[in-house]
Amino acid sequence: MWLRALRLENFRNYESLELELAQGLNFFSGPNGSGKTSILEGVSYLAVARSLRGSNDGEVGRWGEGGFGVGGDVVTGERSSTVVLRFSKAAGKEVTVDGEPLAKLSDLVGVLRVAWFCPEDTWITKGQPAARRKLIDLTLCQLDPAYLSSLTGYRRTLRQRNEALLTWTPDEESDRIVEVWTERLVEYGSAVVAKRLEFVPRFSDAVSQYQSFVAAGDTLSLRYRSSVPLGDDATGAEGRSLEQDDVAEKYREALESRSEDERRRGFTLVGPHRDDLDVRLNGRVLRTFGSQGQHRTAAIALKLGEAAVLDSDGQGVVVLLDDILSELDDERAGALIDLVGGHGQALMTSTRPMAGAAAEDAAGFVVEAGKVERQ
Amino acid sequence: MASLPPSLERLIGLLSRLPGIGRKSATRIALRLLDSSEAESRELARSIVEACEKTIRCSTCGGLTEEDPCGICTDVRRDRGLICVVERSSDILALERTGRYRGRYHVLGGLLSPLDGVGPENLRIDTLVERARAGELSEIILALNPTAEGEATSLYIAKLVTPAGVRVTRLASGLPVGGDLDLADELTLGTALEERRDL
Repeated sequence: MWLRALRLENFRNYESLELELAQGLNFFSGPNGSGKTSILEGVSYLAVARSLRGSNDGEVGRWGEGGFGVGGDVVTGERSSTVVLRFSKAAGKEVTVDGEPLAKLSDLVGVLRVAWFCPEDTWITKGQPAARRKLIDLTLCQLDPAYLSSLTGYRRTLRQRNEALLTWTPDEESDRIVEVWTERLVEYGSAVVAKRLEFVPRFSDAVSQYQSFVAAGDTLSLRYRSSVPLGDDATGAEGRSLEQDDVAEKYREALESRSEDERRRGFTLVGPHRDDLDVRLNGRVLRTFGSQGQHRTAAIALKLGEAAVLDSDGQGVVVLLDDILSELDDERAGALIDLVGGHGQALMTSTRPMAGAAAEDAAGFVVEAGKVERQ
Repeated sequence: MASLPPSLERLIGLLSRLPGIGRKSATRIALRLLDSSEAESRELARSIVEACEKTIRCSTCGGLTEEDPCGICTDVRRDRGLICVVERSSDILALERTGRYRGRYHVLGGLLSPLDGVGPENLRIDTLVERARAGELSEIILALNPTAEGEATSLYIAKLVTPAGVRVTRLASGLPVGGDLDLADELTLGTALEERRDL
């Protein structure tokens, strides 16, 4: 799949923009604040119905306008379909595919897949676990609508359960309320953990394919580390993954053993919201010893692995590279562009003009103050 | 923009508070009302007041009615052993339209949601438990939305009424009737597969 055309309406600093994109590399150059990243952000709305830049929908609309619109023509094989997402403060988000409104946003899953890579991602192996969970979640949500549904249910239930724990008083009624939310939390949470356990070895394989890019002779591997004690055989890259029922049983036991603690502290102490992805370099956890260069190259391997996993059915993935050339030397940047090109379409931004071998085949765009010119 | 007469402005303001009506629609409705005859506007105003005054909640099921208990609760042809639990009284209309259900109802008036400060005491759960304990019931059908709050509320009710010896069931989720299998989204199809049944 690839994006043939992108349309933005009252989006960031674009009043109205229509772009024809190339199937290979699209290179957007221009000064800071000109609107390069907003183009990638628009694409992210067509894939996951939200901003991968981490903004709220309300912040994305052009100043003074009530809402915004993003549209695009997605080509999959011989077929082309038009996706339109509209947001207004009054009506929220609405998505249509070929004019047909989607009953729920999760129906958009699989229409267009994206992998987003920005400079902050170079800290993914060093920073907080939340960033690594987000990497897993964004990838899995784009592959599996059932995962998206379980994750959404889990997050909602977690908030409800935390509130129930916060207002808990030592009586039967209060216990019953917490119990009900506990059971729902186990149901959604075990589905999330089971899918992550199944996914991580697959992800790890994809990432290790790029280890030559990371550094010759180095082995990068991933291991899912759950706050739910699952036993040794569950988290290994090569070990079997547990069924949801087994995870549910262990999750229930773990919550049971922490129940007094949770009631005292007023929030949920165990679950996929506290899990982590261990990134190991030659068997050691990178987070604790890695050099700045090792973190940077590991992040690239992770992101390339993400693109490969998203493309594992050969449907293609649109890779969005936001200003990452500033983080890489020319040789690495060139190699990265080549690797990314293997998955189909890429949109790349930079403050520097296009250069190097990749530039010859790329479609170049110059962005300045909300205007985009094809070179 | 020229300002509207204050009385008209007030009407538009009130209309636009109604669900599904924005300021544009409210203005269109208000202008249309101005065009109608005085008798027509009085009739409309009177029927709004009348509906608000006469409509009450059935003390048994919580549904909307002018007489207490309501027509459904007093209908002798309906199965007294069967209660369908719904979130809102509008859900009764949806179930009645199916023409398949011949039991009675129970309206909760919401769903459990600690975040919104809604606990069992804010819902009509105690009266449901009373109905379950009264001994006439054989089955309670939970027809709540399959959301986090709906599922938690169903579970809570099941915990309370199962000890009374009442069978508790919930609506199935699965394929839309008359739909194409390959058009169903993966989530719906997956649930339908999990909840398959013997032929």
